[in-house]
Amino acid sequence: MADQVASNPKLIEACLLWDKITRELQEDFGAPRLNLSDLRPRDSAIYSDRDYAPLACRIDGDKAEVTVGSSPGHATHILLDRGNIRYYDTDRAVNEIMKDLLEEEVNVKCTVLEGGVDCEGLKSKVGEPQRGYLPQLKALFRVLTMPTSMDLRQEFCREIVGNTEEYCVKREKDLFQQIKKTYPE
Amino acid sequence: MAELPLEDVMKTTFKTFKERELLFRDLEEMGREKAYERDTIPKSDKVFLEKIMASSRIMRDELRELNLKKEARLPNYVSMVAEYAAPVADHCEGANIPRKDCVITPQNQGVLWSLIEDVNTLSLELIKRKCTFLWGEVEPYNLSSLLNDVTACYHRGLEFYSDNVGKWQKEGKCSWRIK
Repeated sequence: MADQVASNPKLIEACLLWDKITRELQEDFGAPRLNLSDLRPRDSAIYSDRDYAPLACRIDGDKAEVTVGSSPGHATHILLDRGNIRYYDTDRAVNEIMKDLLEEEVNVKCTVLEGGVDCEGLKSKVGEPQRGYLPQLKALFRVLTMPTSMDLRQEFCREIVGNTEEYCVKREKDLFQQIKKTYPE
Repeated sequence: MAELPLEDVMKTTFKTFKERELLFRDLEEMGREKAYERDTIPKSDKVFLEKIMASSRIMRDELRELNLKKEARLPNYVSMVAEYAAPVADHCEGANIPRKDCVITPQNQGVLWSLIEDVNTLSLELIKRKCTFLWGEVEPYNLSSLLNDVTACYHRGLEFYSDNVGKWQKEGKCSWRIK
């Protein structure tokens, strides 16, 4: 790994976890690993093919740019040097869910803005040469498996008569808890 | 059995970044030589342009994989210019017309003409200067001039490729800079 000093190794490790989770959720709809019977109102996948195809994570030094969907600009910027996360999305409902997940799971302080969510509080572990705290970064990348097709999942959920907004939001959080349990590392 | 597209053959034969970069540089050199030989019948220029098209698509795809979408547009446009230039070369070879007399005008090659214009617009946006040298500068504009310009723009795309792709490592959907 000596030739990888140009990019933060903790970001790389966390990114590879995100890649593994998204790939497995896409390949087998998550079905063999997750109990989704109560989470999928229709026989729909967690991600649409259209949203999964453009996913990409690009790490340069202490910065990462994660493309999380197919809409232009649907991305997340992670700036480790500033301890900052910027999630870009125009869907208000998704932004609210992402704010909650980021605050609860990544332990950062977030604000919902017009075009996304802005968070502060990425840490570094004292005594380690590289920026970043690996468990927190893994938690962040685990959360970043969620926004892909979240708007579609929300739409499907809300179309069903009797499903309240609160219920559909809770479903997303339940889905995340299953992902967290299935992919601790 | 259906023949594999040329870019797939290239990808299979030239697997590593280094091998591909060498191949692309050889093609660039070949382009310069062809453009220089103005009095020659454009023998195998069509095949050459198809190779430029295929290799530009490889550069485009690898740049896109690194999320360098803007940079990827240059080889993408070069591949389109080469695609539209190949039949012109084929026609002049078949009719035994030397490169210097194989004249290209906006009237006889409207799409090709506007693609060259587009590649220059893009180049101005990316590197603040046109990537062609002869288009709009020489009269008449012929296959020799076109080969010169295609090669010059291909060179710019290759610069993006060498500067970026060789410095990045990729695994799944993650890529990271290593140099």
